[in-house]
Amino acid sequence: MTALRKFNGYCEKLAELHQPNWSIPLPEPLPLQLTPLHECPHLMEDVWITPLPGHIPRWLEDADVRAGIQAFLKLDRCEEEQRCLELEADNLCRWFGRELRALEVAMADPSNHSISMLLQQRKVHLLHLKPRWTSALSPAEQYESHVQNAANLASSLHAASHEALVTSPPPQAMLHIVASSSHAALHEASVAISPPPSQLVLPQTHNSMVSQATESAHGDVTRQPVSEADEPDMSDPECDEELESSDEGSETMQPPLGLSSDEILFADFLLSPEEADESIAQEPPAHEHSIELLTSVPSFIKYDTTLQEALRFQYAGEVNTTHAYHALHVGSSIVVFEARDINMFRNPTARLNDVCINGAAAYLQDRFSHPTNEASLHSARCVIFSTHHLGMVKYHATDEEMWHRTSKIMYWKHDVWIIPIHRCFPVGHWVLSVVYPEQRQILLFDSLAQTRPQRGEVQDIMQFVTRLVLVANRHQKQLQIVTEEGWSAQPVLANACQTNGYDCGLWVLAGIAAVLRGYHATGCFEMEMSSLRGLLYEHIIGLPLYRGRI
Amino acid sequence: MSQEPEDVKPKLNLNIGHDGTQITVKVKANMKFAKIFAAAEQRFGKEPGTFKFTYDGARVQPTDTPGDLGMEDGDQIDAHLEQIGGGLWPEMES
Repeated sequence: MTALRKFNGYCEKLAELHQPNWSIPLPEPLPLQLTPLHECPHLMEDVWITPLPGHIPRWLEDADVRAGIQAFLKLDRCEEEQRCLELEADNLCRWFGRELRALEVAMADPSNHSISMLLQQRKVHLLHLKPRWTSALSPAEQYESHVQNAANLASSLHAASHEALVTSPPPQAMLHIVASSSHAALHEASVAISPPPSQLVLPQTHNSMVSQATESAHGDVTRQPVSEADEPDMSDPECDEELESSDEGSETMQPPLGLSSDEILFADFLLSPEEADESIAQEPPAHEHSIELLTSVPSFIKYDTTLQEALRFQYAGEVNTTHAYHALHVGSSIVVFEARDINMFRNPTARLNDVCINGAAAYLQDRFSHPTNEASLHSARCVIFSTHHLGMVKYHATDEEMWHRTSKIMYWKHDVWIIPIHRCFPVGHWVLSVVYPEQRQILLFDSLAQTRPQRGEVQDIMQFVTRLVLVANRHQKQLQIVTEEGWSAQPVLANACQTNGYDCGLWVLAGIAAVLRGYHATGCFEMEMSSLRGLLYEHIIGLPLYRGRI
Repeated sequence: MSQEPEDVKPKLNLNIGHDGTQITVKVKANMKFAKIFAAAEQRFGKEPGTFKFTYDGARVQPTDTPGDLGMEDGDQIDAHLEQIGGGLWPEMES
């Protein structure tokens, strides 16, 4: 405050002393209150203390010039802002067009029939955006042309798919014919209507997702190899002595460590039928399996409706529900159910894990194969693969590994191959495939009965079967199965039998039990699932306690 | 009363494979698998306890030892990540 008063005193003194020929502007006194001082433009001005000869700069002398400079700067910023807004408006408009075309493509795809209502709603929503987004920067004509393009695309796709359906002779149209035809039509339509390839949203999105998956796979290969640097740092000196790691095996490393085989399966699932066709076409012919993928349920299917009766039993012993492990001994093998696994059967809404599926499947086969069981003849014809086996085709396991991991179950001696499958996208889901090698038939059970055909999965199953046959024959196990032609895959369920988010594992077990009992599929109802779960729980806790290896 | 027999006890090379990747660990026959599992998980860059290990298709328990299971030099152990599934698709949640 003192300084301000002093400064203002100098200002007054200077005003008295001032002579116009000195050519210096007089400093203005400063306000003594804080707010006006804060806003005062003179506060930061330099004080002229020496006379200036010659011309005074206009910006210094004239407040209008200063205001003009500020106005020019503001104008520049406004123009810059306008350019940004134009870009944004352009982006909005192009996104609108892309989204609309993508929707038309999606709606034309027959496999999206189940979500057609949602797609239609999305389209209506998008069209409502048009009047809201129209502005001087992006006129209504631009939006209108996008709407028109999308409508043209829709009509072309409709015509093309109709043509494809008409030309395919059998009523149970082979999916890949339809898919490839509509793909061609889609390609033609897109090229004709919207030439820039960047505007073909759907295929690009899928490809990029798949390529990302591939890239990350490669990335992991380079990042993850187990090298000297990854040697375990065993802090326990005894451990260092006892457990030595060597990298002899690391040369055989091929695949991505971070990307499990399940995740690769999931990447495959992302392929639309169109893409699947494309990717299969790009693969060398050796990987392509000729298999007819039918969407209809075969007429010969026998459904098992009496599983509960077959499993019902009177357990006389004391039921141990503590944290004990229970074990199933089958021949020289032992299947151990840990307390956590058993709890999955006890909890009515728990999702089942691989131990539950593989263990309970082994238990069911053991039970139904007992000579006194009426299903023993059927059960003996079946072999059950582990849920981890199918993943081997994804990472191109060697023949040795394939043989090592599957030979123990002696699949070549059985004529019904049961392959439970774990899908991990978008959430973990258990499905079942049953292969009848002699009949060259694959029956697929999915409790959610998804309409989308799992082409990638069927190809994997076929490749798995082919390699199993190959490996068995190489090891002098005669397996006269033709894998090159004549195969077909069909679902055993037309409509979903599961509506909750936890029972698919039980459905798969019911499906396995049905096949073991000589049927093709389970005929259970959803309301029976909780009692089936309870029955399996009782059976498993009825197994002997696990007391370690003998 | 010599300790010699234990000292010359041969070590086993066990191959542990996960999704086609192999590592080899050299262990004594009486070493608990808990220690071997921890080392393998570290080598594969996984959190402890994430793998399930099987030998000849049967689960290996952390309390087992290679000797208990009659393992020999060069034997193969498979490591798997847990699979879990309930099967609810996102559109069904709404």
